[in-house]
Amino acid sequence: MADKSQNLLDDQHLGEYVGAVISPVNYTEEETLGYMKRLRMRSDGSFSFVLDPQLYFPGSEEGQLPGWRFFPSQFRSGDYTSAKYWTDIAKNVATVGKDLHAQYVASPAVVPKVYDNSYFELMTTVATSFADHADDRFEPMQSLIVSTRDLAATPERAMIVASIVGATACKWIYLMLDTDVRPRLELSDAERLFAVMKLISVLERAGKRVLVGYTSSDVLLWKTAGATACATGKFFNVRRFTRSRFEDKEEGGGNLPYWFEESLLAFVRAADLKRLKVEKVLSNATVRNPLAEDVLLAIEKDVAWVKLSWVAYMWWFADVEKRLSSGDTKAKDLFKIAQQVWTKLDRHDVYMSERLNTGEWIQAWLQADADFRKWRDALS
Amino acid sequence: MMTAQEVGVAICKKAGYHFNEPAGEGSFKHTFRVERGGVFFALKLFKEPPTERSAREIEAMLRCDHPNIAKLVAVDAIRLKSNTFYYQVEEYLSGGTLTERIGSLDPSRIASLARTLSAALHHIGSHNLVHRDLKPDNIMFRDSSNADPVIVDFGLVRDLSATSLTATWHMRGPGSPFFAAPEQLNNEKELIKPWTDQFGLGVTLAYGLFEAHPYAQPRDSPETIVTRVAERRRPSPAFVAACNNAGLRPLVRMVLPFPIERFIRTHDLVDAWR
Repeated sequence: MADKSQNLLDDQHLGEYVGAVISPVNYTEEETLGYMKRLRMRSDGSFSFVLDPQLYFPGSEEGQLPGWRFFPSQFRSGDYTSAKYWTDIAKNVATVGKDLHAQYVASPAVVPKVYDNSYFELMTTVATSFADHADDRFEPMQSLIVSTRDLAATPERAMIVASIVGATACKWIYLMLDTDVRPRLELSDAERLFAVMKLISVLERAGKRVLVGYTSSDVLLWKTAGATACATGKFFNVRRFTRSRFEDKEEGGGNLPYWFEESLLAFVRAADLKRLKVEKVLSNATVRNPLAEDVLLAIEKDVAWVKLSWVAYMWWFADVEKRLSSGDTKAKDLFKIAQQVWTKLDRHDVYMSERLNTGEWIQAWLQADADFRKWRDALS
Repeated sequence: MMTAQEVGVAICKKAGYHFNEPAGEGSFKHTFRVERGGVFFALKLFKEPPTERSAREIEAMLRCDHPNIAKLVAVDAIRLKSNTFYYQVEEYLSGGTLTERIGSLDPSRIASLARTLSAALHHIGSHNLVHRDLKPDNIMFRDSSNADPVIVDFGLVRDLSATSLTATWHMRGPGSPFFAAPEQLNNEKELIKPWTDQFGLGVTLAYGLFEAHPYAQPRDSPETIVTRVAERRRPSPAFVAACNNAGLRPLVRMVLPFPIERFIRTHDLVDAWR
């Protein structure tokens, strides 16, 4: 959960969410216990928590992390390439997970300098020894951080990484994508997207369950690949899994309100939304969004709508994940529609407020989706 | 200088066995059939003093205790005329190897062998071991029936909890290339796991039934087939179709090029053959 997000969990429009990822960077152990208890009482225990120890970036902004009992004393100077370094950390993360009564706990993991086979083997060994500490008190997840650049380096790379990780004792994989895409821009390299889709697909086919963390509208691709679940947050695509996410809390546009428009598969500003309404290109998902009317009213009256925008986006995310899981909606159809709508807007000389918001990534998503389906068909 | 047979006779005298006859010779050992109390045993005499690899073989065999894995009875040394000779005694398998039965096995026999040997692989994997040299020569039988196959020769065993003994520059990794998995051929240590044996067993069983490698195309030489496996092509469509027709679908999955595509847990492999 992003900073100061816990109140969103109470929002009546976000009832489709079945769980939340605990963020030790943003909350102390005490605060975490408090909101977990409150939510458990409200949800009759059906709401799940995932403890992610977030030890990814030694040397970055640590936030509340040092106050957590699993925080290693040598976090900045430890040799995290050695299995021995992780032994106590894994045990301590498991202990905290049990004390919090988290249903899922992710293994500790670090972002490496090089994503080579030995790194993935080490993280798999750590996760397997971590799983030994679960004692059936929580479901252990292997944290899997992959570089999209590395994953697309050769056609085989995703399969090799999946094979190394396949040896884990954990049934669940908590996948995080290390990209060099700037916040607010969409992932738009078709080969890299295809590589991630392959990774998710083969892990799921092998009987693993993949939870993709830090996702946004890219949920469409990961669900198409077969991911069991995806997690998102209020900051949409502006705070993807990047080092900067953990370093500069006030930058990156986190407090700007955006509307996610399914017909464009894009985050748009207030003025854009008004233009889209005039052009009559708003999607059915927008029409059904229970926050849409309030947002449009707020824009009309020129009042703040940041919180509304968060809830509206998160409502869309849960809604589209449900539609994709049930098969009611196919990502490819949404890509095609978005391509047509962007073309129409271009013909009508309608441009978005932000210069780089042009829908160019849709072509890459279509390509990744097509490559993925061809690859999957060839395998079967 | 004593001959190997003379040493064998001397060992029998010291250890209380009756010497029968020579039973074969490999790269590293002479084998003799010996007998005690009406039961036959295989006496294996090392040609050179045991290396660390030999020690791992012995350690692996001692750790395994499964009806379909060769039993190690004793490991010892004898000093004769200022020389030390090392030997081990194993159960004697009189039914010969799978190699001798190739061509005479039908799909139901193959399924039965797969069922039994998958359970043995599960046992090996549960001890964190990888055999790494499964092939028809290393599947033996206790008698003339096909009921009791036994995995033998742990000379290339890899203990996953110990340091690798294979040099990283090794081009093809140890083992018999024709039956080896891609990760073994490419010497990808991080990928050598129990699923590597699954591939070897899959190719062995496929060869036992079809007398052809799953990746073979018409007129392929063995070298071409090995290259095809190393490059991670796919099993031939003819092989896939033949397995499907014979009711042996799990065999296809066992020989897929990437470990993640195979049965990643050995008990899933066992379940698949039930």
